[in-house]
Formats: sequence, C-alpha cells, structure tokens
Amino acid sequence: MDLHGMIAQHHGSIFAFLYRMTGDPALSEELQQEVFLRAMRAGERYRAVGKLSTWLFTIAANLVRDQFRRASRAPLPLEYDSTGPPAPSAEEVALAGEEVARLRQALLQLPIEYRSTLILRYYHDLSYAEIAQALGCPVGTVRSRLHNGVERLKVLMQEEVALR
Amino acid sequence: MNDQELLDLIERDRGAPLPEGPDPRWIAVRIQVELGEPHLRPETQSEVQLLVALGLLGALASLAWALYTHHTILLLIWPALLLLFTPLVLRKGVTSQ
Repeated sequence: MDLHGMIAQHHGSIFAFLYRMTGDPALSEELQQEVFLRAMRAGERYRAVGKLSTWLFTIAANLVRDQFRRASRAPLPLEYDSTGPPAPSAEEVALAGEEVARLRQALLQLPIEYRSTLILRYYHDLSYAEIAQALGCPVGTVRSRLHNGVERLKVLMQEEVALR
Repeated sequence: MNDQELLDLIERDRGAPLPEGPDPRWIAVRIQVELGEPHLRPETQSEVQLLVALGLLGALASLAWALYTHHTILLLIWPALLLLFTPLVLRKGVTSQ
C-alpha cells in the first residue's frame, strides 16, 4: 500500500470526520495518525472489504468509539444530553459562522452512533451500504439511525434557539 | 426547523472551514517513524527534488556539450557531482529515529 498516496488522498476527509465526531482538533490529529498507522499495519486486507475510503472510515469510527469508551468524562457523550448543546467556542464561530458553529455543537450532543451515521451520510456522501459496512451494522439500522438522528438534531437545534 | 432547513445548514457547514489539520507530509513521516522505516524530513524532500532536477538538467547539458565537442569525458562531470552531493543531502534528511 502506498503510504504517501493514501495520506495525500484521504487525510482531509479523515481529519474532517474525526473533527466533526470529537470537536477536538488535537485529538482528531492524534486519531488521524492512528488511522493511517493501523491501515499500514493491516496491509492488504482492505481489498477484501471494498473501497479504501470506506475502510479508513471504519478504522476511524472504531477509534472514536474506543476513545469514548476509555474516556468516562464526557466531552464526547455516549447518551443523549437533554440539557442542550454548550455554546460554541469563539474560534469556531469566527471560522464557520454562528449558525454553523451551533450545528456542530448540536452534532456533538448526539449519541455517537447517530452522529457517525449522519456525518458519513451528509458530510461524506457515503451510500447506505457503505455506512453499514463502515459502522458494522445492517442497512436497515443505518436508515433508522439517519431518520432518528435528523429528528434529534432538529430538537437539539430548537432547544439551542429557545435557550437564547 | 424542518428537514430541508437542517439539510441546507449541513450543506453550509460542509462549505465552511474547519481547523487546519496537520501537514500530510508530517503525517507520513510520523507513521514511517512508528513503522521503523527510513524517511525524509519534509523540508529535505524539496532539496532532494531540486537535486534531482538539477542532476537531470546537468546530465542533458553535459550530454549535449559532449556530443557537440566530441569530448566524452564531459559525460562524467555531472554523475561525479551528483555522487558528491547526494550523500550530503541524504545524510541530513534521512533518519529512522
């Protein structure tokens, strides 16, 4: 496997996925390196499971899940937080605009499985089958997570507006 | 907020900048370090590219000059210079630490 080619082609999308999943640039950087390292160590196995990008998202999603499990404190909550999303940071607002920054914060409040499904579908254009492969779940589960995830995200966004 | 408004907002988010990730060249270097492979530091990669470009250019020039003057000894000049300078650049840039 060509390390430089793989990194050149996929570093942006993997970092973006990890950042949207964690909201933490430093952690995303650390996990991104681990994704490519694991891919290189696994060697040629990815051929058996389809597209390289989907396989890299699989590794990334597993790493984020492991990270959440390890961290009992909750910058990355496993359960739905009904208290509403925290205020976005000034840096985030400056970079992306207030409404987009609130969306990112709301995404971070979603349970991890909903969050990863929504991000892979709406930010990375993966098909239902590819998401199912990346997250190791049936296509039907992907559909229901997408539906429920969108509903939960709308509620979180409305709660955020109501709190203001 | 309805579904379409949410999807429109997501679309805007997709176009909005994210914090900058690490330089991909450094990602490669760190992974090569982890794997115990020799590698070039990113700042040295451009020096090596320059050396290769100069080497090719010089080789072509000396070939043309040698053909023009019929002095084939000139063909040896650029290989000799490359042999001299390449180890200097690589010694600076290659490390497995």
